[in-house]
Amino acid sequence: MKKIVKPKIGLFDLTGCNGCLTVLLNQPEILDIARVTKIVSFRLAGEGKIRGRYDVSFVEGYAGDEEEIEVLKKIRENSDILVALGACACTGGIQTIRNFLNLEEVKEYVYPNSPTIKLVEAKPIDAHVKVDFYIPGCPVNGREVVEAVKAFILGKNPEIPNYPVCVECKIRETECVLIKGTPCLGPVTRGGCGAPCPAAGYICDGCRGPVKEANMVSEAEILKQILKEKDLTLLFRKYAGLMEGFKELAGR
Amino acid sequence: MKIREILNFGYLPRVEGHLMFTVDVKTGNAQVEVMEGVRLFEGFVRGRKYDEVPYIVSRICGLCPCSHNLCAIKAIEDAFEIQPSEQTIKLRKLIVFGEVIQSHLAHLYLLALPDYMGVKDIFDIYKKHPEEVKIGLKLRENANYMLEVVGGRPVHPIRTTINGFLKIPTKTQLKELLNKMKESVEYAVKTVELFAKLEIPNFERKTEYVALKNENEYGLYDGKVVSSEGLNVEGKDYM
Repeated sequence: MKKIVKPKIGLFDLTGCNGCLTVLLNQPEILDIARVTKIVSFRLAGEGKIRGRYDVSFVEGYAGDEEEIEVLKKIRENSDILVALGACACTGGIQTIRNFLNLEEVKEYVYPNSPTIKLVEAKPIDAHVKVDFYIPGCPVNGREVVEAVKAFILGKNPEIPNYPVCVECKIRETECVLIKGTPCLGPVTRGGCGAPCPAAGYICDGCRGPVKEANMVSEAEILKQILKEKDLTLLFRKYAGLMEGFKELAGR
Repeated sequence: MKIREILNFGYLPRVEGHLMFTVDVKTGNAQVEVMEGVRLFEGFVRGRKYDEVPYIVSRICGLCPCSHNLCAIKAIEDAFEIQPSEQTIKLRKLIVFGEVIQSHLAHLYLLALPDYMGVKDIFDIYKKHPEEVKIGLKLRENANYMLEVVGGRPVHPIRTTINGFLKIPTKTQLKELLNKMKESVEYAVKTVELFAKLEIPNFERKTEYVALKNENEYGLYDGKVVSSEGLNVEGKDYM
């Protein structure tokens, strides 16, 4: 890749919570990013129109209806580099929980007798278009997004770690919650988040999706000593239950 | 016939959520339509474990995740007839305040101000008025610090839980928070001065205003749901 002087950037949001773009806005470097790039599209904080070509587009959310699938395709056509931003875009996100249920029943429960609501299956955006880079997490780690923008300007590939969350718990000296008998997906989940959840006294619930070459068999063995089969299934059906590695344990 | 070109005329910019402005040329009717896929949270939380529901529903909105999170926690506590400690409630109120401050600042500086100044976004404003923009961002940074030390992080809290907190802020963090809030008061006054100078167009229409009302304090964490049209019910009777 070559260096891009003042890259044209698109910050797009499909169906989701806008949390990942909010995290980006919270970064102290946001004004610098706006200075060294040209933010062409940013519906949440500027204008949403697709205008000409983009050097890099970041897409948050999942394509929630047929129209959004078309929007996503148009973004892809107009972008040299497309980055999936956050769990919804990378792995389908929290709404993939419903993919394991009777979808029609779930819809009727929330929106009874509403024929105008057309459901599409919740999927990662790469089910519809080619994705060049993935920045996972629910929400994303803002530092990773800032580093990715820097990398694109320098003509480098952004580096998203491929080690488990456990590595980051060790670095920040968080006591292992799995050893204490609390179910944790840290050993099989992709790190890079900085492991904030176990440090807060919670568990890693796998929002960044499976790390490559995770030892799923071993993780499942440990979890089966702590959890009932049904609860183990629920643990994997959350942000990334459709992904290779997680889906087998999510009961798919 | 509808004039409707996706994105090109499309999504209304600088609002939370996707809305599309459509015009019916024949009738002259203009309307705003919600243009977003559905997510179905109410449907898919059924069958989940009760203690993970607050984490799941915070994902409804990344701009007000703490409200959704705390709302679920309160509903679950209600169901179990749990009365959390005074300390827990005080810390939760800090989270509510932190969220309201950062969210209102996002509205003022990021979403609304560009319209009043006739520019595209806050980055355009920054070119001409860097000091004002820095004040807005500094205020948000301080509010986010509040969410960070109490809730664990600004977007999607992780320390809050049913009947308490998984972890509470240290004394040092609370002292630092106090300093930042003192600094914020000064900046908040400057914000009021800035927005008081704006010319607000004379536009009024019939609107039902809804809020929480609490006899003892500003109702943000607890109170009855009241409206300007006479609604006055307990939260659990609202729906």
